[in-house]
Amino acid sequence: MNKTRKLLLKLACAAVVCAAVVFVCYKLLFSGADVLVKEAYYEIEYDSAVYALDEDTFSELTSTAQSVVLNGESYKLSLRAGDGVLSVGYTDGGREASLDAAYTLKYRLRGIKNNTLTARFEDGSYYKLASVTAPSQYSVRKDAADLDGDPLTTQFAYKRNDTKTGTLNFTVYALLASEEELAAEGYTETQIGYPDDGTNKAKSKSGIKYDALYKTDGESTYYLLNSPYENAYICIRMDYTPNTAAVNAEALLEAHFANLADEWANGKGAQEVQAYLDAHVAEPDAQELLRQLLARLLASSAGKTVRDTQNPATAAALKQLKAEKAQELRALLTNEELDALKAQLAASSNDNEAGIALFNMVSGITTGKQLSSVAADFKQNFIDDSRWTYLLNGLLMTLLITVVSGTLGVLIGAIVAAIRTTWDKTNENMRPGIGKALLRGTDKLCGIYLTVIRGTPVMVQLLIMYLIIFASSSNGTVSAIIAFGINSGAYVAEIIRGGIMSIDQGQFEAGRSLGFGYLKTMLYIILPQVLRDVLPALANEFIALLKETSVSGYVAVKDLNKGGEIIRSVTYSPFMPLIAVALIYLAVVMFFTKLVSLLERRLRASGHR
Amino acid sequence: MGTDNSGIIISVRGLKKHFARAGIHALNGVDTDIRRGEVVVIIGPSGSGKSTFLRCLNLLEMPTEGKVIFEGTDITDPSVNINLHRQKMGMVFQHFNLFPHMTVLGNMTLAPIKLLKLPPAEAEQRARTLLERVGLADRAEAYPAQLSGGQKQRVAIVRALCMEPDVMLFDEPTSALDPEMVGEVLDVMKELAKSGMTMAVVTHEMGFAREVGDRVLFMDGGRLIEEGTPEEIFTHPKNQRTRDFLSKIL
Repeated sequence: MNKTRKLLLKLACAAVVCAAVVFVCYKLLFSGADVLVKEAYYEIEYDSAVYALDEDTFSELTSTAQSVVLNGESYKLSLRAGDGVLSVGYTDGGREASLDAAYTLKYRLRGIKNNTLTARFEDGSYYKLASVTAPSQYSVRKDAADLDGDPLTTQFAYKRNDTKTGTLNFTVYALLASEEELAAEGYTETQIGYPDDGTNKAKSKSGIKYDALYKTDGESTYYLLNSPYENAYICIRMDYTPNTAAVNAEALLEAHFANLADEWANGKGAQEVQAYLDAHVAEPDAQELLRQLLARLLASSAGKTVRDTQNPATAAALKQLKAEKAQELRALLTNEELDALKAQLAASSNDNEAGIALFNMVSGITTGKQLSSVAADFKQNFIDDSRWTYLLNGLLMTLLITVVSGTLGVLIGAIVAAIRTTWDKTNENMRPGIGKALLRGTDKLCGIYLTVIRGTPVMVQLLIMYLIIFASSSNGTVSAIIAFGINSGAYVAEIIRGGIMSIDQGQFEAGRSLGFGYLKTMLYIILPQVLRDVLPALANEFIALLKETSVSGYVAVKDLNKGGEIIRSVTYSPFMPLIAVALIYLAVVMFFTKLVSLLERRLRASGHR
Repeated sequence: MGTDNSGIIISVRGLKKHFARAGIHALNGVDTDIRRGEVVVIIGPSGSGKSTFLRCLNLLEMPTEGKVIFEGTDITDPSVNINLHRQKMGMVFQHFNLFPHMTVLGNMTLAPIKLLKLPPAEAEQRARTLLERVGLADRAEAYPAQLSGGQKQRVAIVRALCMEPDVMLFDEPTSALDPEMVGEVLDVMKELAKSGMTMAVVTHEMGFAREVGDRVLFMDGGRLIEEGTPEEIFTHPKNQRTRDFLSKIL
């Protein structure tokens, strides 16, 4: 009794610790969300100005209306690209205000970097607006010195899939039409919004969808967004005109590299490196060698931009290019020279970005191509842009989902098991009546629940939960927790029921003969024994659940597996992220397995059967 | 309901039990009375319904028909809270049914503390006194798995006594014991009988029945065939079936 009590006390402590872990995970994840949002904004401010259109530009952008009078009130439409969203704004009595969220444009912008916009359209085509024409002219800061009023009507467009170039025009205007007229025009209902592809760092926007009307006539694509007024819509027309001239994509890329290299060599980066060399490398010969290396580094600098196109072909081409440059360098230098360089750089390689880049380059060459690629892979997959945080946050999310849904599962399982065993044990002696009918009904319901849940894949249940039951909120985490909780409840129910049924009927009779009612017999006599018997099985179910949650990425939950997937989608190297994810799962499972075996030993030690 | 007259503590009228699933009529109408302080021994061939009869007395088996009137209350009435009445009817099982996850003391004090709301100290005092009485004072902290069969059964008896019942029901209490352990359990039961406890005992121990029993019931085929003092039943059985049975086992 004492030992059992101690064990229960320990279990209670463990439960408290689990709750604390959940709480901390929750805190970390959600405060983490804030940090991520800030990062996203930081990235935007760093890489590009926040730009919106002023009144003058607007007149050039729109073809039909720059201000629209609706029911006597004047509205001004504007195009803004400040926070990764193109949106339609309006001016009401001189005060600029953002329209309701429903007016957010439908094309899915994936972020702004290096003065570029990336947009993916409903038809699946994927555009990188490689250079928004002089974006700073349209900065909200109208007092900027370099305003020169270039129009934003045409933009150079780089299309990912077929490397065609062309022109993309955006036109925003108000459209007054009745529903019948729109239907006659061939508009159909659609939804626009942000994709749940895990790359949108601003969590709050992930998965937001808006109703809209859609029409395309081959040349132009129209999206109509609701306005607060009847029969008035905000229309966004997009015209894409492909260049008919043949385009050499590789030549375009080469030119792009060269541009960036020039920019860098004459800019801040080169100065940084020179300062670094002056501070840390005394010998003129070594300085000269490093300058030669520097020239090659430009390729990697350019490559960083190319990687952001998220085009696998470009990324692969860049990797190839880097490898070639490395071999070239290796041929230029003797072993001694390389060693000397490495030694000189090793002591002070953390000083600045250029120094780190140099060190990586040099040490990569010295230690040979194979190791170099492994180290570079590792750095690219986990260190660059702090990508390891995807894995850490993913792990916390996985633990959160597992612990919460596991607890839910035990609750559901215990209730279902109680109902089923109560029916099994008492139906023969029960007098017919409402109580019996009710118990029979719930028992049948539980039976159906078990059959359905155990007879369908958890993945399908998860998708049903997310896409059908939680369709309106599209909250992946809650869907996953509930889906896994319900799923694991079915298995837990059978474990607990097995445990109860395996207790000798005599235990029941002894309890009842002393005057305990059914529930008290369960509580004081049967359940303590069942708990001891089924704890290891429950713990194993928990471990299985931990692994099953790896499919929650399908409902936009950034769990551990999804974290690896996000890294893969950026770096295009499957090896490192996958192996890392597998190792983390393995480590966590081994940890819990060890706990279970300790628990089992303890239970065996306190067992007195 | 009937009144508690002439010291009758349990009154059984027209008791029938039909096991629907197995299709067995275990009891086919039993009528008898058990008086306060009486030791009633129920004998009969296996399958005669004697265990079912005993288990019907505290409704561990729900009778299909008939009444069981305990201390003036018909406990087969659905509106009766059977749990309260079971507290007054201790039961000892063939397979002891001790709670394996509790010590001897835990086994004994659980029901008094939880049901009679005794203070734990008082319940423990009561348990230790009873353990003293059956010579197991030193095993109070042991777990059931650490006890011999005879010790287990003695603990099972005092566990029931801890509730201070008015009646004790024994369902073949020595059948699962090694022969050398039967004596110690029977001694406890004899001592209990001497102390004036009302007992209903299903057993194959004819020696016990003869020595301790005030009245012997012979059952066969779910019916009460013959009843009387041990002297009447064992020495001058009237019924042919009783004679057959006794001739086989004596």
